[in-house]
Amino acid sequence: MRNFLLIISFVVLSACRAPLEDGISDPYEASNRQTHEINKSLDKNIIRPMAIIYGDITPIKLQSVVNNMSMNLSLPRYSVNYTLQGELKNASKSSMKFLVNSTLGVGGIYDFSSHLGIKSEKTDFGETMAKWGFREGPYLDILVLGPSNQRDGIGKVVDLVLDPVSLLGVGAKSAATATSVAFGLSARSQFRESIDSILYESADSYAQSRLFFLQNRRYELGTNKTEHYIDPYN
Amino acid sequence: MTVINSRRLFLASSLGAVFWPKLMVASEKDVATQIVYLAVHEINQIINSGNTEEQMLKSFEGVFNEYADVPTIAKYALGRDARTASATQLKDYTKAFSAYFATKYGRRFREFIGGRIEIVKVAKVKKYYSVNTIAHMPAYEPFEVDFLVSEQSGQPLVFNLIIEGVNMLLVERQEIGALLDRNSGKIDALIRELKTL
Repeated sequence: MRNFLLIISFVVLSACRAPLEDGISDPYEASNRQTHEINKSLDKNIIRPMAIIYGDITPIKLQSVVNNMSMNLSLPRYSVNYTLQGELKNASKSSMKFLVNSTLGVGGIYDFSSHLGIKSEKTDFGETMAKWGFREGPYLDILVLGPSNQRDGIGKVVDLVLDPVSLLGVGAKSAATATSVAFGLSARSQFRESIDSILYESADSYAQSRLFFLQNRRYELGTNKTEHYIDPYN
Repeated sequence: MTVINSRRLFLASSLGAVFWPKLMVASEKDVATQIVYLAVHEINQIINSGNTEEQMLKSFEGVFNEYADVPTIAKYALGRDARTASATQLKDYTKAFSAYFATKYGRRFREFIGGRIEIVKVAKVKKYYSVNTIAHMPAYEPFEVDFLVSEQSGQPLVFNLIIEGVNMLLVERQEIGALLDRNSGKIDALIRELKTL
């Protein structure tokens, strides 16, 4: 019991101490650039064509349903991560949302809990590590997964291995994987031009992807040290 | 204030009076909000117009020219090289950049087809106003777009966009910098390439 309390207090005390980040640390730039080129050719030859087909033949309403299911099957993972972050209120919200959407929302087809005002922000193990005080570390371009950093790369592996949905059985885990792939294709298709613009139209697609990732990720986690404000008038 | 066609402003104010009574109070903050309100209103109309891509891009160009400080964005994107460039070079560059900017960001906004942008809140930060909006998309979680408005050019104009944390000025400075590198640092060559994009 005492140990348990100690762990809880460690988790709670260590929460909300994500270190602030600034600039770009990219000591592996040479190999990252190679991976970036491989990822680009994977996108060009496989992912993008598949996404376009999926996006074109699947009505947007159906895509929305599949995306809802994917989101629903992510909720147990959010809940576990919120617990590890000491954010117990958010953890219970994610669990509640999962229960409501899985039952009243018919297996997550409808985001029923939104109508009840139950909202849950996404989170992941990378964020959990950030809240535990781990720095983001060097920038990494990971095969297939794309732009990341050392901390979030580890986070992705942990989220994959420790997904509580696996406890619900192989069927649930397969559904989670399938719907998340569909979600990825749906997003690749919907934001086709934005992504194409970064990957295929910019002068240095590697540098642009890196800038987009770092800024967006720090914004999500609230770890951006530099302010948004640039005064172009001075 | 001179930028806004007065009839349009009247229309927007009346709309604002219905949907957003605060707009009727004339203060700097409200001027910033009004600019974004008008821009967003026009963007929403364009993305739901059902027009062709070409027509939409032309409409977006009009919106950017009216509500955004494109010359200032262009100059910032060029960075230090803006200081060494001749007046003619700067003029040609700004013209080429404006066309590039209109097409690029017109295409970005065109992806909001079927969605809508909603103004959420306005905050004064240092010398500018940050107008926080949410873009609602049919099958995705909504995302944030901040329009930064400054009156430092003499008129209230949008000088930066922050899309889910991604700062447009930084993105454009890096992109123009990379284009310049590719052209061995020669501004004239950069201008020629910008025209082909």
